[in-house]
Amino acid sequence: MIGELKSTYISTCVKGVDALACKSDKLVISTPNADYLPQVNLGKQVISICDDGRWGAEDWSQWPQWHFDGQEHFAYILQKPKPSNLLAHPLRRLWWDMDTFDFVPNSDDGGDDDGRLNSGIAAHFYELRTQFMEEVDSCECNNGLDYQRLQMAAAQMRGCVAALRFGTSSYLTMKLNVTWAQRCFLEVRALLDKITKWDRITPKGEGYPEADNNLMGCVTDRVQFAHEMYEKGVPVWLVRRPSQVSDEANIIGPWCPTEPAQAGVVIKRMIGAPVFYSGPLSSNMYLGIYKWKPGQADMMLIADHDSTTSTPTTAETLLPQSVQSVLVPSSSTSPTSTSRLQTTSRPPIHSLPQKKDTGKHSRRSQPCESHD
Amino acid sequence: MSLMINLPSIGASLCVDSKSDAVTRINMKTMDGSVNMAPFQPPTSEYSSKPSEYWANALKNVDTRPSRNIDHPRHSMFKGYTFPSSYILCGDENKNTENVLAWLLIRTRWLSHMSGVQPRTVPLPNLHQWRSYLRDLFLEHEFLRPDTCKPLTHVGEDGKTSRTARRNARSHETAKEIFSIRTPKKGDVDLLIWNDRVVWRHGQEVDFQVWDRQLVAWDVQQHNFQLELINLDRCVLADNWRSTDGAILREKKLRSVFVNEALLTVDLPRHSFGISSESWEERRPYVEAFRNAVVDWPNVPQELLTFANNDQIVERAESLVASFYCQTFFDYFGRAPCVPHLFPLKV
Repeated sequence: MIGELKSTYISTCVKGVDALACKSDKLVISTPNADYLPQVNLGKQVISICDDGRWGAEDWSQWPQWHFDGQEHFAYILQKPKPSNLLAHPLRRLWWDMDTFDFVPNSDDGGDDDGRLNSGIAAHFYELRTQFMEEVDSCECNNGLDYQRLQMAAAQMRGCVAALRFGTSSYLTMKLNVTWAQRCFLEVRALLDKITKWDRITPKGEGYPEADNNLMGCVTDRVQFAHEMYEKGVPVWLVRRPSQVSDEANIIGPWCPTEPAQAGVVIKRMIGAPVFYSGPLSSNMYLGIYKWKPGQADMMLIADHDSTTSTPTTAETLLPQSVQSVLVPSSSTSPTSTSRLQTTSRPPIHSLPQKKDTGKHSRRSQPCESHD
Repeated sequence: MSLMINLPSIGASLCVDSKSDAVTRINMKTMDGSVNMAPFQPPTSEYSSKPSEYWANALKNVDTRPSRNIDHPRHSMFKGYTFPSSYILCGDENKNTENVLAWLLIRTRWLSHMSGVQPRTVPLPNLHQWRSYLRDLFLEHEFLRPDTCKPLTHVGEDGKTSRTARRNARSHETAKEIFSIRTPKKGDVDLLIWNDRVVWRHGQEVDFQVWDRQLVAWDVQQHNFQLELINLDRCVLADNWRSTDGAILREKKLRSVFVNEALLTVDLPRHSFGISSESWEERRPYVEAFRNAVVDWPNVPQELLTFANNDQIVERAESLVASFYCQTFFDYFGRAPCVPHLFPLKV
């Protein structure tokens, strides 16, 4: 299967990757084993929060990502099951979307926007956490790095679940926390699968297994790596310049890559959400957002001096200031769920020292969607 | 309007409250005028929960010479109290009960606020700010009686606003910024529930049992301890917190000191009390986690580094680790830390 991407170049800032650059030709994406072609954006990456609390197509728990060394486990993330299978899936909670009626307001007094997650759902998350932790504790890692990564992801997962089960917060915070917890769960699952299953497969060179379509898979330009994935039965996509495609390749026809939105990924940005990363493809583009976690109390106390200045990415408000000022009064009049979003439509989540400079926000927040 | 005042000395914070409170505050000071010594002593009120002897001793033995203070950028930010100090909630006087009622009114809101997505840019409220905030809240809601003795009327009989009213309005503004939570309106609150009981109902007398009051004190103490531990760690190991991996690792270590690794808990614990358990067996893994977290700090006593998880010396470890923590906390913030209290059992 082969198809044409919108990107004309791969903007990766990692050395050693054969960065493909070509002015006019669009790149092509092909796969030896997957049943669709994802439309991946290989140009400028922007990580921000979308309406459903996830990170849109840049979210490794939702859409195949560019492969970087050290992030092998992203390929083993479980993909959201098809609607028909979702209900019966034992891990269905990991793709569940929180709704307002899952949120129980702290009702001792009227007019309170704060509340807790429905206790049954919170208990379900806790159950999954216990189940996952048993696996984590009994997992034998082959190397220290895997161990460390697994323990870190598991710790994040436990922290999120604790906030869901024992804490109280606004609806928005709770929703972001739910998606954060789900992401942690999926990451732990992927790491466990990587360590206990995928790393133990040694290809025998006798044909190729069918791809496991429950997996997210990954995108790469390294033929060697794509071959390894193919041999393991993990969905993989190879990105190349059209001229690099060999004539002898057995191509079963051109295909139109699937847009993330077509596949049900919410890509509409949440109003006022900060931008955590904006730049080329990079293995550390998620670092900025990791520092920002909802429901952890610690961020409430992060002082504005040293913590934000040292990070590579500075949070910026997504919308120009002018748009925000229009939005705030209109939403504050309606007591519905939109008024909850109001908190984010006020300026910065990381309050910037240069708060007064409103022009700065609007200027910097323009080039978000450029695909080149 | 800026509230980013440095608060190393108490004097700077007096601008927000009435004179009478200011006087009591200064009377509580020792001669050197900067360190409040009372919280270093074990609480005497029957309404307070109590620290274990290790922690009580550790507090008593803190070297409080001002020369020990370390200058660091987050001093003023984190010096205050994340939760109201149990100090202003315990005691026999009416005002303590009143503070408790006001605190219970906003407790869940405050918990939500602490876990929200917006970072806090004003320093944590100090003891004094907490006290006047809770006091104002209490008066505003007229929990126990119509407020006749202390005229709060904003407009005097002659149509002019009184000085008290102006001052109240000003302190209100200040409080709004420091506390930045929306409080319920007067009349919206019909009852307050604590410890699964209705402790106050509109138009009725307040109904606290001693145990309820002890739990209130325990809860704020525990939350303060947890958040202070994290904030202190952030100051002590600022470099580690700067990198994402470092921050995740630190958080992991610190969280394991808490039951269920939960930082903020709405419900009171029913089964496991972690580091505040009376039972040694139950406390042990948490004390070990605590030791494991603080051994990364500079100037850690050599003896703490070498402890194995050995029954005979764990008691020693607990008292050592408590002393080290209390002293470090004082060095960084110039006040007594909130230490874990034993979970009060029903009498």
